[in-house]
Amino acid sequence: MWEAIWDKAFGIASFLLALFFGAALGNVVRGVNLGMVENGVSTQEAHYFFLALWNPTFDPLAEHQGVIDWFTLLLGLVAVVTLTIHGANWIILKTSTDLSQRLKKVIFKLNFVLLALVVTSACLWHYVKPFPLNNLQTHYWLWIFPIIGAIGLIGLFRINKFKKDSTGFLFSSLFIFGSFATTIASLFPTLLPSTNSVNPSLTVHNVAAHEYGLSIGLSWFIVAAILVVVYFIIQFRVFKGKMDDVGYGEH
Amino acid sequence: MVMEIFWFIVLMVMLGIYVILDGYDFGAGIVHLFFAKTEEEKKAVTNAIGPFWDANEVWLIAAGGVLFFAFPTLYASAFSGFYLPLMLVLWLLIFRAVGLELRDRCITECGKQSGTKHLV
Repeated sequence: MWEAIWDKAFGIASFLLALFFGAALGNVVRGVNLGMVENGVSTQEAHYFFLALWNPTFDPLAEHQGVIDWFTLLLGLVAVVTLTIHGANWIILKTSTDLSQRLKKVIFKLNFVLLALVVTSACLWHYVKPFPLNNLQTHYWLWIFPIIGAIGLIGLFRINKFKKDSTGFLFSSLFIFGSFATTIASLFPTLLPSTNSVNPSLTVHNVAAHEYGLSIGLSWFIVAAILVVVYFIIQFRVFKGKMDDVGYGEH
Repeated sequence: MVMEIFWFIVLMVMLGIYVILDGYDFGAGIVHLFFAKTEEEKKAVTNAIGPFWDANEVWLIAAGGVLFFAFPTLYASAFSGFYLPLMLVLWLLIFRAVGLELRDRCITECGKQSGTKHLV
């Protein structure tokens, strides 16, 4: 009873977090009604907005948007399937039970679902946001990101043939990196698009702090970055290899 | 100008690292929910992410900190605009962590004494 409750809390929360982070990306891609414009007039300051969780139509192009609509929900599903595959690859990498063999079959099947979802969402992206790939058409080198993503996605179809347990994890990481970077590159320099024509989108340039502060921060950042790198090296050395005997949670 | 681009790249790299690292924690949770049937399999899942997940989540905090520092207007805009989903995410992160930590707190003692003693 006790364990069953907390198992569900852990599992369902993980599922919903993946869904929400995907939906969050969907909200950024779709854009929001900055300044809460009604009938062509801002009712709030230019960078202020507030989103309800959903509107009854679930239409991403509706005047009163919600956090959850069919487009953001679709991206949420993409995130759930992607991260399920990614998590399964990590478990295969870090443990050696019978579960690993079963997970390989699951990954193979889910990869077809993921491919279908990715193609669908890439098409619908053009509907929600016309000409989303302008940046990639002017800067050809940016195509490296979708190509990396595609290598990750297509490579995972060979999951049953991988000799090393780390290969699957590498490919799902490539897919996540590639698709994430493609989305950001296509938006750049916009960070949060505006869906109305009254208030401008929030871009790297109009939301940044003052140049002086940013350069002072750089020197502190270098110190922090070195500490983080050292920490990660130690962590991955201490916990390298299979983790079957960790006994996590047994006190 | 150069600094803005630099911090943009830093922020996106941090978010990217977060998605890849904590992403497998969420994925492991989903595997735990749908595919891990026996106690041994559940243990395999929690062992695989056990020593890593809390370190991974620090990347989200760090990315939030950099967002606040480098792009304060975006931070202000997004945190008030996305208030409801952010609160939900916060609760979910808490439930996930509590679920992971508390499930084994009661294995032997629960039959003999009340579980709440161990929570204190």
